[in-house]
Amino acid sequence: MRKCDLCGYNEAVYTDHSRGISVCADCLMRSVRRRAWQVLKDELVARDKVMIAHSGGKDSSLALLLTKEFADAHSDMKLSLLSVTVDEGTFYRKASVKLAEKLANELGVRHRTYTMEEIHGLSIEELDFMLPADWKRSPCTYCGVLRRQALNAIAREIGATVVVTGHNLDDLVQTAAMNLSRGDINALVKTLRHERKMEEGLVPRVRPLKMVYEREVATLVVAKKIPAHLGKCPFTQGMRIGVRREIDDLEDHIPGIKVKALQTFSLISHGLSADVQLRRCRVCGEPTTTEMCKACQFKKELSTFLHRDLVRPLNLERVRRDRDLWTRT
Amino acid sequence: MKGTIKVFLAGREVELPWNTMVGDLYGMLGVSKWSTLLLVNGEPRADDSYLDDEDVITWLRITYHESPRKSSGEDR
Repeated sequence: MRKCDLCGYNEAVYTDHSRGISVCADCLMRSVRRRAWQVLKDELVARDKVMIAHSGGKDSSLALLLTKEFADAHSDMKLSLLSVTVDEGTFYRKASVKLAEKLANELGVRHRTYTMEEIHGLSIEELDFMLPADWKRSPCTYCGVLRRQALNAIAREIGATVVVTGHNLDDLVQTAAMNLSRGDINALVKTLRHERKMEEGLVPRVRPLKMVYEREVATLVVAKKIPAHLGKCPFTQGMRIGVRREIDDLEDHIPGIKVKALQTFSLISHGLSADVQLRRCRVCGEPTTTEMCKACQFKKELSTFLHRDLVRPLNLERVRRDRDLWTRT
Repeated sequence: MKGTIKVFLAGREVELPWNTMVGDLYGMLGVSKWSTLLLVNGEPRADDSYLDDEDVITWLRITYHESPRKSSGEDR
């Protein structure tokens, strides 16, 4: 049995190539918790109402677990938590919603599921069925925009002061590299810099796993048997795939380069200013940088294929009724 | 000294050198350790763990960003 290099007792489950050590699940959990708690300590403030965007996948499940542990260990901060899933209406999501509820229940955090159908008036399954096979955009493109807008609107209407997401180190390095390669400095700044201001209805985000490798997350979720869905969304695709492969190859040759890259991107972003003027979409009233937000532009496009008018404000009635559901710690 | 071990890889019995480590399998299978997590008897193992006779190797895709389609999201 290959024993842990730190405790010398348990079986090693993960090799940290940048440090040249192999560690057991307990020591890996301690290391991941330390990094995640540091982010939460830096970016949360007392009496925050923290909405965890919890899909039931491995990343958001670990983010929920660590945020709950943090809130319990820092009871003087009087944080309130709420776990929220946006169900896009895919077969894949059905399994993960159940696991999201299971974990939230186990942790004693209230959980709510809102469907894309009720908020936006369409499901991704329906969208995939109705889109022509040769259409220029995939369901994934629409889903990403509509899901992000729904999550922000839910957070704002439910009274959250901050949203915790499960984005990990790999996600952020890929996003930053994509922003840089597109020359999109505004997006780079917005991705990496945490700002505590509620700008035009945009709820600030905290990413506790931003210094944690995706591989560490997967290893922990399996080794610690954390309820989480490990399946893959059938629709996923995008420019990210190629970027990820290049960065992974670099990490294989230079262990630790993802951490250094994120630190460098963050430093660069702090020296830059985002030239973004947020305003409200003239149709739905959600925050946007253009006259009509991307979600409304997409919904206008989709109305043709789905044979009904989808361009309207989001339906957030049920969300507003849930404003007093917060779990105080 | 024993020259080889027999392990079960995706349900098939495979003979490997006795000193094969978990990390070596990624190269043998042609998969990246950043998108796939190999499990030995259902559990994750460090890359520098040696495999044993009768070990059952399975794997999990760990990234969402892998596409069954070839083109990008914007230009299908």
